[in-house]
Amino acid sequence: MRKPIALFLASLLTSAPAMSSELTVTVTFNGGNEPVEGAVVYLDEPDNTTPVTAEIYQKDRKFHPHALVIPIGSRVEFPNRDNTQHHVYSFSPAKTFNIELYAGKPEAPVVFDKPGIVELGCNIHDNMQAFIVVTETSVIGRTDAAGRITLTLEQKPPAESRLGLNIWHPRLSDNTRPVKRKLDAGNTGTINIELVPEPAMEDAMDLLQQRFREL
Amino acid sequence: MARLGFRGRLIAAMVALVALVSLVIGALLMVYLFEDEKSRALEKITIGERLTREVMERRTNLILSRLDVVVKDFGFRSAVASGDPATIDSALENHSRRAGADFALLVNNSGDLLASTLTRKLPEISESSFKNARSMGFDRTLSYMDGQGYEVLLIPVEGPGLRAWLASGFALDQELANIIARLSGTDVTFRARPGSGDSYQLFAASEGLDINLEQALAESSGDRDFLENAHYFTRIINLGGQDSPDIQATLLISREASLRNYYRRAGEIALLVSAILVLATLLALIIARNLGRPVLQLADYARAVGEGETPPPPAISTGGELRQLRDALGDMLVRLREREAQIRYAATHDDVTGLGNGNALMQSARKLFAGKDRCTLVGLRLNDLSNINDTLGLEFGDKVLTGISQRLQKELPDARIIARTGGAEFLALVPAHSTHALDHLTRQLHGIIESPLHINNTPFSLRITMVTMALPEDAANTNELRRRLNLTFEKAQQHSKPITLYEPGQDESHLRELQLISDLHTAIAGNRLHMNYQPKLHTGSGQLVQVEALVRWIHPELGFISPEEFIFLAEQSGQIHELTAHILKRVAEDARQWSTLGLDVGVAINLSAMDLAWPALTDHITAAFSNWHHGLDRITLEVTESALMDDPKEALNTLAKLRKLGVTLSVDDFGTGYSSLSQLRKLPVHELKIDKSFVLKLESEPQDQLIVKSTIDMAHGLGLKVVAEGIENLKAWELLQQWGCDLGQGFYLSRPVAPADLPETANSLAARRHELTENTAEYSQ
Repeated sequence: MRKPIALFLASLLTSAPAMSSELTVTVTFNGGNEPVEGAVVYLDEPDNTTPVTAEIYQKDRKFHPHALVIPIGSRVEFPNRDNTQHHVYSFSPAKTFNIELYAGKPEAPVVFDKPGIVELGCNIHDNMQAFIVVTETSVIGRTDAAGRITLTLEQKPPAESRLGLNIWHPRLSDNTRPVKRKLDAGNTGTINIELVPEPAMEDAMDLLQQRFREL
Repeated sequence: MARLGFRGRLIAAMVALVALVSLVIGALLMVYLFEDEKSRALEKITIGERLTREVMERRTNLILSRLDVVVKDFGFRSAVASGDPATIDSALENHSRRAGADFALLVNNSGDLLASTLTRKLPEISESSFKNARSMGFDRTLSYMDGQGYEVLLIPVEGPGLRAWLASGFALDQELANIIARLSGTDVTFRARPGSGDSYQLFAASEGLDINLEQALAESSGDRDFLENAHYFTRIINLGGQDSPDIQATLLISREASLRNYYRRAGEIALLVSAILVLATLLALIIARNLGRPVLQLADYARAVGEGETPPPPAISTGGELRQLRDALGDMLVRLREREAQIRYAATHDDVTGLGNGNALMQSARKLFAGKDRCTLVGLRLNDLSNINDTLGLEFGDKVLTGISQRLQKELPDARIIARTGGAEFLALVPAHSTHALDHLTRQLHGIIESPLHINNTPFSLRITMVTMALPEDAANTNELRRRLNLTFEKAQQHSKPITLYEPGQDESHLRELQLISDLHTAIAGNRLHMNYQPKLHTGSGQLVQVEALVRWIHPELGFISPEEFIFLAEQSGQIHELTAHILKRVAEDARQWSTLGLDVGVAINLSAMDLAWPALTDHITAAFSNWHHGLDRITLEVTESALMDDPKEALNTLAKLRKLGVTLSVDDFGTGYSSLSQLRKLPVHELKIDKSFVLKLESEPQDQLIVKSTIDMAHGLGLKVVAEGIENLKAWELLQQWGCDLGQGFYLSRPVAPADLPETANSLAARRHELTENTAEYSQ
């Protein structure tokens, strides 16, 4: 992989290696008309990451945060701050775990030792959902309201080369894995992705339940 | 007959009307009922359709709810997520049974089968189903496998980190059909076809359906949503929606039940109509009786009125028209009686004088004859009423008649009836009188009626003819009365006596005349008259030169009828021309007959006075003697002197025509008419025939001798020949020879003979010729 050459100094605020360069990516959907906020964009190339400890607590029958980005090998605590018990589990191949009904803090944090997208749910609250994006790279970030994200690359990629990027968003039609795109090694790039509307599944089920109650 | 007819008609009309109305109403009712049944069935079936759809939908929702529970079940999800096929299989089996599914499959996100409860080939799950399920949360399709229809529901199995699809099938089975059937009240079947070209196969039906019917229904086409079936109202529902007609529910309503219902009602209506008909008949009978009785009473009443009775009007209980009819009949009766009275008065009274008329008198006479009463009829005729009317006016004439009637009424107070029976004729029937008393009465009456009558202050004298008849001696019935009265009046007018009595026997001769008149025609037509011929001899030579044709009639009942009598009657009855023509023909035939026998003789034929006024006379003569073998001068036509004097001018014309024809003309019965010599001079005749009254006693009557002799001389002086008839003896014959008479005729010479005997007579006359002409020589100097 060639190192890109940074031609501008706008990113000197961050203490970056001398050979570092910046890449600004704009993520859009709907044919490039609308920016995507909160899309997780990261390099498709492993580098040195440092595991962290994070937590996803449950409050008001929701997971907080809704999407957590962690480097590989990180531990995640699932403290329960609701007045009901929760049964947190995941069947995702990246990490299958199961924390039977509990209140308060589970005994042990869960270690996420495979990269990938881990979807979380609660067995007794179907609407509770959260995602953990486990990555092998530190070149990662989330798009802002304008759908932009500036990534700092360790080395300037060689010109004429293409960078592999992973883009993930909860509303991807298949949100169990990120979308992979190649981008020309430059300072900027625009990536257009397809998003599904807010999950219709829940609404459909709600409608069904409503009908059920009507019977 | 009339009774039956009227009532029958009334009943028939009413019953027919009721029947018609009832039948029409019944028929309409039946049609409406039928339509109603049909529309109700259709309505029911439409409701059934909606209900079916609703039931299906709810069932789907219920199943979806169950499936939802299943796919959210942690154990199930865990099993699916475990990735262990055996575990997944068993979990699928277990949980699909929980949801009540008949089969279930599990498919991963890429569409690969993870597990299945079916051992057979799996149903296809199309991409569109997945797409639909992704957007809607579930997908519902229908499929037909192994002769069974299924509702197949596809729902996602989703959990954190889990993505799979559960497809489960629920059979459309008898249970479901029963539910729908129970709710909708129809029978339900489910059917399907494997492919769009195949025929439908029935795979489920509600209980209690006929198997044969099922087959028939299954085979019927499903293109329309309504099956034509004789026994069922049907509705086809595409369970998969309009665009997929491969699986259908069929709703059926048995027509039998509806029709049974319908027939039961039809029966009820028929019963009702029959009952109404019976009632109507009874009602009609009652009305007919109520209406009929008064009508019949009125008919009897009218009949009685017609027969001239005056019955009391029938009491009619019903009001209205019949009573009006009765009153009208009553009025009619009154008016009828009034009019009858008027007519009877008019028929029996004379409107000028107020006396009875001929009818009244005859009526009275009939009563008299019937009662064997005796009575005298006094009749009078005003002699010159027509003159009075012509000269003084009808009004005056009426006054005269009124005056006479008043006088009669005054003078004959005891008369049975006084009547004016004709224009100027009055008759009265008075009690029988003796001859003497009657004579006195009539003379007195005659005098009074002929005494001057004051009209318009002017004395007016009138002349009357009176007759009397004694009844029933002079006439025994009205016909005789009428006839004999007329005879008597005629006689009275001939004799101009003031009073004439009927003489018995007059009427019989009159009747005889009538009979002769009627039989004469038959006699002429049947050729039953006989011709006789009396020879005429030349006085100088004694030679037979001519015969006079004399007609004779022997009546089959009355015997010999004298020619004077029947010729007179023929003239009276207008048959004289016929008779003359007949005689001409007969004479011509006889003459032809004689000529064939070699008898050469002329003929003399008598003409009636009326023949002279007959235009066709000359034609008839010409025709009759068309093949006459001599000159026409050998035909002599004899016309009496009095006939010539009736209308000399006409006679003269006719004679001139006859003369032109070439016949010989002779004046017959000369000396008995009133011919003036000046007229005689003008007549175009050839000879005179001296009447036999001058000849019969010629030998003894000097006056006759003088007349005959001077007539012969005068005739010869006028250039006329002379014939003398009625020569009875030799003396007369000789005298006539002596005076130079040309022809003689008489019994002395020969009686009239039949045509067949004439040749013999001619021979005997030829034999006497010497005897007849022995003195001729003396006179011929």
